[in-house]
Amino acid sequence: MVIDMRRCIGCHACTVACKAEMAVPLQVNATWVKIVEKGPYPSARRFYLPRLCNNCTNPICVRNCPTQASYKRDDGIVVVDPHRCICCKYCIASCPYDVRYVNPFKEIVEKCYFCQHRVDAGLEPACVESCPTRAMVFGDRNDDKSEISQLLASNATTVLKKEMETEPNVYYIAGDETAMSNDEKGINYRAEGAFINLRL
Amino acid sequence: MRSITRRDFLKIGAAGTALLAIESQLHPIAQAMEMMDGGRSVNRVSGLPRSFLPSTCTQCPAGCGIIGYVEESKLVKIGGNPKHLSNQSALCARGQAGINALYDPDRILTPLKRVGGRGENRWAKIKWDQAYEEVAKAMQPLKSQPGRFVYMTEDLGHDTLGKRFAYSFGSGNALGAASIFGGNKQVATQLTWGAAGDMPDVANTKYILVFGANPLESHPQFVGFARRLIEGVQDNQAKMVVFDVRLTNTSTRANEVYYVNPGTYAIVALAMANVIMQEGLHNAAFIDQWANISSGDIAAHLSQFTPEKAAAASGVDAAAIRRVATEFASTSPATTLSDGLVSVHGNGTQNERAVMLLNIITGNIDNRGGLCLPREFNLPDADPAPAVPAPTPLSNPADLPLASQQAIDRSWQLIRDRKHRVGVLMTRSYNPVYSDPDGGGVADLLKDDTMVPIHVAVSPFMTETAALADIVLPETTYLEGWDLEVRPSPELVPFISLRQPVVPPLKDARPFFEIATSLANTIKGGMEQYFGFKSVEDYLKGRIQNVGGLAAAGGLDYLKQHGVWFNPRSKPDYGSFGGGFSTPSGKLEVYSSVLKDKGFSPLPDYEPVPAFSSLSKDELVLTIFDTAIQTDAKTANCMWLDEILHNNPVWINPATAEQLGIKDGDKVRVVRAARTGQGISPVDDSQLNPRARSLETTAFLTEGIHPRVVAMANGVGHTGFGRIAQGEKISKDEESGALKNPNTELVWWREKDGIGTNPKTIVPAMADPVGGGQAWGDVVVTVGKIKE
Repeated sequence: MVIDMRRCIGCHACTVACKAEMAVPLQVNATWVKIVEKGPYPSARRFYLPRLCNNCTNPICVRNCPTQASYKRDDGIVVVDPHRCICCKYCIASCPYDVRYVNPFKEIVEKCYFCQHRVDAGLEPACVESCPTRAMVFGDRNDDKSEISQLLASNATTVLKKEMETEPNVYYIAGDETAMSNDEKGINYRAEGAFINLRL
Repeated sequence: MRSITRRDFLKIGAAGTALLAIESQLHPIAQAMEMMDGGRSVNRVSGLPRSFLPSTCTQCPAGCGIIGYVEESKLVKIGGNPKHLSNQSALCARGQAGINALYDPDRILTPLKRVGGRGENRWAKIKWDQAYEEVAKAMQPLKSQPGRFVYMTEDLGHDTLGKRFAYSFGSGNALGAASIFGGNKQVATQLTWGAAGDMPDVANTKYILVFGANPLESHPQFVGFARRLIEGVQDNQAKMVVFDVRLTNTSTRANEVYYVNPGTYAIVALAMANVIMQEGLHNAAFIDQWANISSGDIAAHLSQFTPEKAAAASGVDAAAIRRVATEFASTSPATTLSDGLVSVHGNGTQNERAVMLLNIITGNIDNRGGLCLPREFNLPDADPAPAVPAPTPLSNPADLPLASQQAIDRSWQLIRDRKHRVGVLMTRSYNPVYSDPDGGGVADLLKDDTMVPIHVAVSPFMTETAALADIVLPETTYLEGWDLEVRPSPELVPFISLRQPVVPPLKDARPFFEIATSLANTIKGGMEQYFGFKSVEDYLKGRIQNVGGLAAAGGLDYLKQHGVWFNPRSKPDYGSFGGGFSTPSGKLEVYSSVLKDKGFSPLPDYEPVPAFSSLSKDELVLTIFDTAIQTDAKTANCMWLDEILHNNPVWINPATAEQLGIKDGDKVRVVRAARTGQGISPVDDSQLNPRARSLETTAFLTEGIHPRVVAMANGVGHTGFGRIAQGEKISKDEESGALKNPNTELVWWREKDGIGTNPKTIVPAMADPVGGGQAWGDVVVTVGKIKE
């Protein structure tokens, strides 16, 4: 997936698309938009960062799962088998991105699966389909002709915590450095603690 | 546009490309829609496509096309309709969360009759037949004075059926609330180019001057317009310059952001226009042909607005005003983008006219990439249509001659002053106790049965207003009802969108068509002849029968299948004014004789807001802003939205906060200053509801706000509208049948963050005397820390 921050308007369509598509309960999120504000008045700027599982090529969570509930599909999507998950939360502890959660009803770990069921049916992930400004693009990187391959070839991109060598599969175009480098989740919108204020 | 087809190309592959070549004369969206039949949602376990029906959203005024996906007769997901010209396949947070409203556990599912006093919230469930009888019994005696039946709705222009009900009873008092939702823009544009509203062609422009508008967060056509704006600034590399009092989501995508002193937009725009005329950068030929006064007259009028004078009033650097004006006039095409904050001042109508002048003098009017006329189908009511009764003092208040049927606050005042005797008040899709200025005052009025003897609320939810009714008629939500929707098209090709039930009505809820028909046939007295349709489909067919292309495509059956219709061969008809504008002169009325006749300044002008002159050190201006998460009174019962936006701490600049001894997160009291009443339309502060003078909230310190301005978000802080809207958990043990949802037990934000406060409660009713629009932006407050 590529998320083009030059197009993102911080509207949270993706946040709600994920809730609806994956029946994500209240209190937890598989996808959300982090908001960061930087700089003094009047040159203050605001930056967004849609967050979701990176479905890493080298997923630490999969390595650390004692029951092989977490595994990587042939196409690279990292999923959790609900029947094998014992909710030991090792994966949550080992994920550098804080994108896994315990489903409060099922008491198993869940996360973003790039909407594997939609991808299998030839559809885009729900967040991608809902995005009003088409900031999110999903596709096959191995297909040189795909839109995502062309975007990756023609734009500089960054990933979260490259130094962890997880090889994330969510690429950001023009992602703000501060938003990408600090560990705050910043889920709620303008609720207390919503913005991470950084007077840089 | 390009991005749509690009994505669709991926799906349809080589075979589709060949087909597109043949069909290339079609509108690009029409090309895509030919390929996109079939499910776009699958069951997560089985992978099988879900059954689906297209319909139209009402979570905000945009009227986006939606698809309801259904499993076992339960709505499981709402997605965007890829065939819809406005939103295409995308859908905002609110649209997707509509499913929460449908299954709100506190929905009203049977008619209710008040048993205690008004507002005690004690109700008896009654049968529909009894409800119809009771309403008929109250309305029948008014037949000789039908104007005593008053119908109020939020968006009268789009409530054809509500108007039909009132008019067929003989009442001209069908009232809308445009005045509280930016009506000044409608009046300003109507006066200037003979059409209400505008549609900047942002996708095709090269320069965008934004005044107080925030379309990337709030716009009447949010999804479609935001997409096109991003296409403009990103794909077309248009430069965007924003003038506002706070850092908006739109500012985040701008090349330059300027903070203006509140209420001074007009003088900035007029000074830019002055620079353009002085520098000879204007389009003299366009002005000669299409403006109703000459270039010389315009230049002479503008010469008083020097950049230095504008800088002194607005705080924007004179050199910046000169440079931006020069860039705007030297870049073609270019457009302004104004709405929201520009409109909601006592000088809002003139602000809008001043901004519009920039497009007129540069010839950026209804051209590709310029400020375009709104494209919207006009769908008359079906035959036999009732005669429209003569205007009444209530529907057309004498002191607001330009705000016909839309100046709701003036209507409340006339009722309060007993200048109009109400017999029966019916409210529908309208929650004035929450939405209107001084909602507490409206609530007091609704509690007084000498002013409102009978109040019938048509509402699926127990809103703050429905709670003050005598009878509540539980209309279905939009997901179970019918209607036709026409809205200004962001793509400049007009469309007709159908709302149809994606699921059958829950329990005893009934669509408004059925309610109105049953009431008319119970009340009788002649009105029943206008409600003799065999079915709602029969009625809707009557409304579209004269739309030529649609009839050929299959009429209502086409709409039921696709959800939307537009002429697939149409392209934006730029320069559509061809033979002239729909104004008295047939030209762009820079000089408005209508304004002159009514005693207002006939030329675009700047009138300072008196309340803002010489503010004392602790006086600040309150701004109330809309977001992409909540729509005013409409969406707070959607838990997915509340989880994101559930409170509204007051934004304060850290420098200001330091002077006031306020830290981030402090509890603060926001108090309306008496000076607020010194508006363009003065209000006697001592006459106002003293309880509605202050509110408590927390401070949110942000560098993204003018130091003399504080801001609060709209859409939260409910005192009614069910438990979810008020952030209350609902125990899973509670029996709520089909509406049972274990998530309601997980509601967490009330305890952690609070549910916010409705800032509109401390705003008095103050209208722009020209356009009649509520001056939401003219409120002066003080903010102080609450000592624990």
